[in-house]
Amino acid sequence: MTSHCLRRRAPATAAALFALVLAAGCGDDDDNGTGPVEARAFNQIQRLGNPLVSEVLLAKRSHATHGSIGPADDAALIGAEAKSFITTVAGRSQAYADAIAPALIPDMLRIQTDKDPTTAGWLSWLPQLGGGWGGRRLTDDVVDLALLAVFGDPFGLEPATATPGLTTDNVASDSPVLPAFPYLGAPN
Amino acid sequence: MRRITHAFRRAVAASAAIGALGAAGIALGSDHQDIPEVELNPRMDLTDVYAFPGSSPDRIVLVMNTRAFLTPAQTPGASFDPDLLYQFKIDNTGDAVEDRVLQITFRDGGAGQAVELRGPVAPPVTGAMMNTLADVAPEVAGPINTVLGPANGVQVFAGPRDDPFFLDLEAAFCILPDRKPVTGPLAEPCALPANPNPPFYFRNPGVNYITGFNVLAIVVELPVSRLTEGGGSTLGVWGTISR
Repeated sequence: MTSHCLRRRAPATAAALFALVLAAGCGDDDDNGTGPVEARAFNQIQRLGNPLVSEVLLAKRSHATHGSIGPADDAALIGAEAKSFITTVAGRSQAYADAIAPALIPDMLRIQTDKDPTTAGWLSWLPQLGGGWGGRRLTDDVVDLALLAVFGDPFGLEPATATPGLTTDNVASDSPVLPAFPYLGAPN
Repeated sequence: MRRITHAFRRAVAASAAIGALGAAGIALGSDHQDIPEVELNPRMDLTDVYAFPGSSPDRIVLVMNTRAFLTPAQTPGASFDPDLLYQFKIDNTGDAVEDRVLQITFRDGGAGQAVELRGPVAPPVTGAMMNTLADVAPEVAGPINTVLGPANGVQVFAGPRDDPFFLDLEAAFCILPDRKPVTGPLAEPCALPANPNPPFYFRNPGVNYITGFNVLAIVVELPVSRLTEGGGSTLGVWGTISR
C-alpha cells in the first residue's frame, strides 16, 4: 500500500477530507497496510467461539459470513441455517433444534466464573449439564459432544429421532498437554 | 431414525459425486482451513479457541490456535503475520457484544519476532469491522517462544505448539465432502470403504488425523477479575483474526 493510504486518519477536518479522497483510490483492501499497526483499522476475517459451529452446522459457502460477523449477529444471520442442519440432515424436530441451538448461538464460549473451576468443560455451563464453569479444556472431546448433541439425545428430549450409532468418531485426545503454563504440549 | 438414515444415504451417495451435495451433510473439523482464502494465507487461519481455569481458582487461561496443519519440517521457520490483529473478545454483560478485549500483534518477521499484548481494555471499536488498537502501551511484550509476564499477573506465550485438537478428519470428510479444503491431501476423494448405515465412514478405532501436526498458539493467563471488570461473573469469549 502506498503511504497516502495510511494518512486517512489525519486529525484536521480539511486534511481528513483530503485523505479520504485519496483513500478512495486505494481500493477495498486499503486497510491492509504494511505500516505501523497502531495507525490502521482492521476488519475481521476469522472468528471462533464454540468449536464445530461453522464446520458442522453451516455449509462451506456460509463460513465466510460466520467469519466476518460478531456473535451479536449470529441469531439473525446464521441461526436459521444452523437449525436447518439439525432438522434436515440430522432429521430432528424443529422443537429439538430450538432446544439445542441456544447452547451454541450466539457463538461464544460461555464461562460462569463464579462456579467451581473443577466443573470446567465444554457446555458444562448448561443447566441441563449441571450449570458448571463451562469454557473449553484442551482435552475436551468436543467432536463426540457435538455428535451427541446433534444425533443423540443427551437431554432425553426426543429419543425417537436419535441415531445412536453416530455419536462418536472413536478418537481420544493424544496431545502431550502440560500441567502448567503454557499448557499446550511442545511442538512436534 | 428413518429420516436420518435416508438423509445420510443421500449424503453418502453424493460423496461419490463430490461437491454435488451442498448443504446436506456433516463435516467435523473444528475450524481448520475453513475457507479457501485461509488456505492461500494460512497464517490467517484460526483453528480453535479454548478457555479453562488457570493455576489458581481466580485465574483463567485463554488459548487461540492458528496456522492449521503445520508440519514439524515447517515449524522452525513458522511465524505469526505482523500485519494481522489477533484478539480475544469478552462479553461480560450478556449481550454478545465485547466489553473487554485482549489485542495481540507481532513485530518483525521470522524467528526473531516479538509479541505485544494490549489489554484487557474496553474495545476502541466494537463489532467485527474497523477495529483499532487501543491507545495504551502493551501490557506484556517480548520474544515469541518465551513465557512472558509475572505468574500472578498477565502471562503470555506465543509460538508453535502441538495441536491438541483430535478428530478422524478423513472419515468426517468422507461423510461430508462439502466442507473439505480446496487443496492438499484432504481435498482428495474419499479412500475409505463405504458403509451405507450409521456410523457411515466412522471406524473403530478411529484415526486422529491431527496427531503430529503443530499450530501457532497464543496462550494468555490472567486474573479472572481483569475480564469481569465492569460487568458480571458470566462471560462469553471468542477469538478473532483481522486484517
